[in-house]
Amino acid sequence: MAKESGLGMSVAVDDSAGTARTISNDITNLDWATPREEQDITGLDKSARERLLTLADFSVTLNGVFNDASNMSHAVFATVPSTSVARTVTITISGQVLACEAFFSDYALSRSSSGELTWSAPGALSGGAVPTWA
Amino acid sequence: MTTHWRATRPKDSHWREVSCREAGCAQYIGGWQTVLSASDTANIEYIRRSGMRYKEEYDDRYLIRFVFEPGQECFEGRAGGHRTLIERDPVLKRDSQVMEPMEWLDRMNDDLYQIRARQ
Repeated sequence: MAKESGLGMSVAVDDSAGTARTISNDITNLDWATPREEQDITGLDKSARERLLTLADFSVTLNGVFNDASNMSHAVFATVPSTSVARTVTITISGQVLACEAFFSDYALSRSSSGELTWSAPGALSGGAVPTWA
Repeated sequence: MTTHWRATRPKDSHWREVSCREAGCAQYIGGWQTVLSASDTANIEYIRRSGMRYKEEYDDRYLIRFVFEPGQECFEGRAGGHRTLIERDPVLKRDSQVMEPMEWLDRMNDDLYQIRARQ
């Protein structure tokens, strides 16, 4: 099968030493969540709920296929349990770039019954500034 | 209230199986060793019937070491385990709604700017 047109997706994540490693070839899924907290401010005089949107958050979960080649996903995330560093995650889709600083809290490996070895790495915004595509 | 933005590259549409040679598989390049218990008859017989090139060594009475020559499809490759990406845009979703790349990027950015403005 020949290569098909399209700009694809590129993903780079810092290793624990702060060096960006392009691990696109290991990534199968990316999931961003943008939850917004709500504060209930309903007064006694109201007959329906009154709310305010308060703190916002931004989290990213990377999913991929296990790869223990040098500077690929296993080398990047194997240090998640033993280090406490914010890592820059840079994602490029169709020429647009989203870069954020995130703390990764897990590197969960999973082997399916069919023998596939995959991983999941959830990260949460560390710097207090929600990133935007640029 | 949480919005999920997803970029997925499904196994069936965005990856294709490749041989060990194309994948640059380390086992293909350098060969490898597989050590089995002497009582693991199913796997031992599988290797002996496979037609692969190897030498058989006995570590002791209980273990057999199969030393495979370079230049052969490894077990992972034989099972279709080596894959490479097809150069194609990921499937982009806002919650469960599939979107075109530019629409998805615009909608996500609108959302992110709104969140930012409230910070």
